[in-house]
Amino acid sequence: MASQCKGGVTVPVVALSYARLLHLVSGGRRITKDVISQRLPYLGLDIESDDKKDVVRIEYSPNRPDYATDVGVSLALQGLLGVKKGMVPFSVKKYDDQACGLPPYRVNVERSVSGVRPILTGIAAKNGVLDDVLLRQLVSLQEDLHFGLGRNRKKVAIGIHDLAKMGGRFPFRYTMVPAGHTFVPLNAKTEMSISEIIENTKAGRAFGHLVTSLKNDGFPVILDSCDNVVSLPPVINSNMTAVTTKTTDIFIDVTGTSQYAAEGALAILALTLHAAGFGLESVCVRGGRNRTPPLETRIIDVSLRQANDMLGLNLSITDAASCLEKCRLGISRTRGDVVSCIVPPYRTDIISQVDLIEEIALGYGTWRIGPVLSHPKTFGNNIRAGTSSITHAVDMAMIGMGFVEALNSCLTSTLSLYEMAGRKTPKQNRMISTVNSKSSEHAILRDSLLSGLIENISKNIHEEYPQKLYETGTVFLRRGGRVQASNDVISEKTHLAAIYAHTDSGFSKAKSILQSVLSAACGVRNVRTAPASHRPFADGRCAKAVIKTADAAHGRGASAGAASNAAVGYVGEIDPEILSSYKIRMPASGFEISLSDSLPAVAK
Amino acid sequence: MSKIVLHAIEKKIISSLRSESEQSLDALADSAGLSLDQARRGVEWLRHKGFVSVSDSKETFLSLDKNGLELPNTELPERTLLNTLADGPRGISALKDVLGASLLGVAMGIAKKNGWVTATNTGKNAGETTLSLAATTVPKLLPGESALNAIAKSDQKTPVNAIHVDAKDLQYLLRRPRFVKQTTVTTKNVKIDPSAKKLSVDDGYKKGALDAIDVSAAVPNRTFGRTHPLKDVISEIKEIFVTLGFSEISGSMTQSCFWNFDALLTPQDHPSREMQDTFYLGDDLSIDVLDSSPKHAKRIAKTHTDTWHQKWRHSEAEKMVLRTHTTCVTLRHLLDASSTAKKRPAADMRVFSLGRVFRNEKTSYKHLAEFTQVEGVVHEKGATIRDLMGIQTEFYRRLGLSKVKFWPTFFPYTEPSFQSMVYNERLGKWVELFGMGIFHPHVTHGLEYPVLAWGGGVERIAMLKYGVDDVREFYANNLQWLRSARGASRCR
Repeated sequence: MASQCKGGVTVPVVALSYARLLHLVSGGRRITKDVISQRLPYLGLDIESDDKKDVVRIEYSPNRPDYATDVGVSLALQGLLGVKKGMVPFSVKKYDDQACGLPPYRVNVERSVSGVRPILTGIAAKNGVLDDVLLRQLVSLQEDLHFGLGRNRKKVAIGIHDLAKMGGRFPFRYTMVPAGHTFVPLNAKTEMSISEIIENTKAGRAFGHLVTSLKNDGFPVILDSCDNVVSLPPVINSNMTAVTTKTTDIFIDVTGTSQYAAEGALAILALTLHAAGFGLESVCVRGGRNRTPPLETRIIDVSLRQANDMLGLNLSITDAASCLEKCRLGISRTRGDVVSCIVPPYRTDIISQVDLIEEIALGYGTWRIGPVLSHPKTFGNNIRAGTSSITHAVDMAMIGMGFVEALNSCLTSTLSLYEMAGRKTPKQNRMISTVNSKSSEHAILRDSLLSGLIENISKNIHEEYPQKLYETGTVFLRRGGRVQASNDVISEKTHLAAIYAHTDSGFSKAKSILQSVLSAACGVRNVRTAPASHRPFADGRCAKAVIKTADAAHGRGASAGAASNAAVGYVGEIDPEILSSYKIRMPASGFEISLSDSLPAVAK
Repeated sequence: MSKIVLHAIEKKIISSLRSESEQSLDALADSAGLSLDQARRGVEWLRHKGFVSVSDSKETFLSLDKNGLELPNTELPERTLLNTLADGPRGISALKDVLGASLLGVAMGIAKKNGWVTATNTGKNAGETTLSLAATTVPKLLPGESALNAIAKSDQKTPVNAIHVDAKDLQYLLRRPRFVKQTTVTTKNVKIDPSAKKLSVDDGYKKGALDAIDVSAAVPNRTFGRTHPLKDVISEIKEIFVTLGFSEISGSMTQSCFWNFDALLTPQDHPSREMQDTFYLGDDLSIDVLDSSPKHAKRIAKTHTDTWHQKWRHSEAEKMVLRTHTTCVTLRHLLDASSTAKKRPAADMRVFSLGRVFRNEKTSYKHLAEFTQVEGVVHEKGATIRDLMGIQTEFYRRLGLSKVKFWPTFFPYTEPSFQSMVYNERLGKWVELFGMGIFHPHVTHGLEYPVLAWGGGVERIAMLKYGVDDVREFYANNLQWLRSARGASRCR
């Protein structure tokens, strides 16, 4: 579970300046760089690198996009260091529809976009300073939101505009226009048609599919009251409203397919601009399922008892409230066992009580929660599931005969599993293939172990002989016949394979090893070998291994003791042609058997 | 003084040298009844111990060379000439018949120079030179003659030792083109040291006791069978789990998205579910989730809609993947155990699962597409985060990792979540090991108690144990490494 998020998914990284962080955090207090670098990990921020001068690069979890800017990080640091506590004051000037006069910033969402990209929301931020640093961070925040919350702009895309350049041409319309509609896209000098933009610009090629792949009766755009294109979401903005470091008033649009995600992204942008000194004003949105973004706080209750039970702490209700405030959350009231917590709109990650219990732990300080070792109430046992008690006996027998255990991957290539082993590559629908593997080495699941061992021997031709390798591992087979829906469609079996490469290697040697391991590990003393043809073994030097097994069907009745024969695998000399194509100059023999099917029954 | 132990070979050599104190190696092998190789080894051992000294002697052997073998009567040509002339003067042509033209030329030259013969050009055969013995006395032995005789006398198969031949005479002979050749042979002479005279060379067998041998002698290494080093770490980890009260469970590597993702609350549009991160198997392998887990499927569908504000699709849940973690196995075990429990509250549970997991990644020195993960869960009344930290600290302590700290982090299905950081002495820094947390209540719906969960990659621990810096080594099956790898008892 450790790397479900870390290993599997690209973790976003932000570069921060210590000097700026200290400035933003300190609020007149004496705080050192060291204190900050020590505390960052306890916010859940891993330091990826530190140039030992000013720049620190930190990894943050995708569920906290507010950490994409130094503003967001410094708010959290203030809380953890006790510089400032409680919810960040966060006010948006709202225009009441009922009052006289229309709100200045209005967007009407038309019905035509509903099947394409139905959600739009937005905000205006005024009278601020968009300096170089803030502009850069805002763009990086925008990219992070696009990537994580926005699922690569599919779910959410953000447009940032210079409000002054819009010239008050409200209300806007969010509507569909034909592909031939033209405007000057961001950073271009001339007008282009939408189809040209989709085909010929970098952004068009990267994101055009999100709107063209939907309904091909036009493209969603935001138009001002003079029908100028403001934005072609989620692809590109108009050049007309481009922001610069001279921009003082900002307009943000957020479009997408999920209102929840769009409003979450908007809240994080709003927080960042508010903290940077901008005054926020509401944008009135109408049409479809859209609404004027409430940007409202939520109240979530947390039970003190449950928090203490989970964390193993003994906090008072005041302690718990203080911990939450250190995480920049508000407290509505405390009563009895319950803390009513005010959650600001940008904390989209807080959904229920357990999320608040985690916040209490964070605010308390993870370094202060010490480990406790209590005696287990259960007895552990190592009676291993399935076939593994046999595999242990197999290990003992094989190493006793001088074999070295190999470990190969379950995922392999058709080249190694079939072609090099002289086996015919089966039809696609008889193999178990992976879809979109990044490497041909991981294209299919193995149905046999021996191919891998031959390849291992080929990589060791300069090592001392005799070479004896064995492997016990899982192989994957499709279940034959009609599959019941509730059954697993793939059966996973444990196999044992061994290979012996040396001048004195041969059929008898391989059979003798097989016979010995079956006897020592599984108690089987009646292996018979019958002629067979089976790659990678040479014809005439290959046999099917058959054992007598108690027949379960007859086991209980009068005919108890009746036995039947079961094929467990193959033994033989590896075809010299296969060895020579691997440039192995030593003769080799071996075997492969299934431990899953017949042997457990026999072993009992 | 410690008892001096001699090998049987050494004893034979010493016995032989006691009767003849200095012998060549060949002679010694003969007299001691050993093969030349045994004698050579035995002498080498004894020389190290100071019981014999070995000196090299060079000997020169002489034999007839190509021209020497062709000499008539195997004698000097001038001797043949003189012998012929002893019966009276002869003409050149007659002499040619005896010696051949070139040898006659050589013989005449030497004989004339020494004044042994005179040549005349008169008489009945005027025009042909006639040779006759001169009045001066011819020496009894001509220069080089004694040496040649000595060499010619031997049977040609056994070369003559140069020490038996007159040196001055030999020098003369050697100047003659390819009459004789010399070969130099180095011989080892073994001489017994006085200190060896007192050694006991009794044959131990006679008394029925084992002959003592030199136990300090060097011997070659043997190759041996062994389990894989990573498997050894796995066994050790399993043992630690068991001693901490955990029991092992196992499950399939091929899983439905339902159990791998949906049951763990991973949103259906989450990036980790995309094909570039997860190995999907073909659509023809999909399974009907509603049919296989009807109860869970309905609940999970609702939870997803409520939590993530989006519709939950069966079709996504039915796809088959190679599991990206073992959590799907432990969770399913917990839910099944709880729903089949005969009494309430259900019994405490501590279980762990260990096995291969898969990520669609390009492999590198620190990432594998297929690796081994272990995960433990605790379902006990009153279990807390501090207990979880305690179990982990104890787990690491048993692996020899004593400096541990915990940092908050994020996992989609645990709340709160932490990662453990462990100090690595060899690298001199903190490294991230297992992740941990308490399962989100939605995930463990229906269970009585909170479930502590923790786990991570086994290879990471094996890397610390074996001092390996490239994780691919564990699956390379390089025999040299497999035959020599030795894990530290403590992680490094």
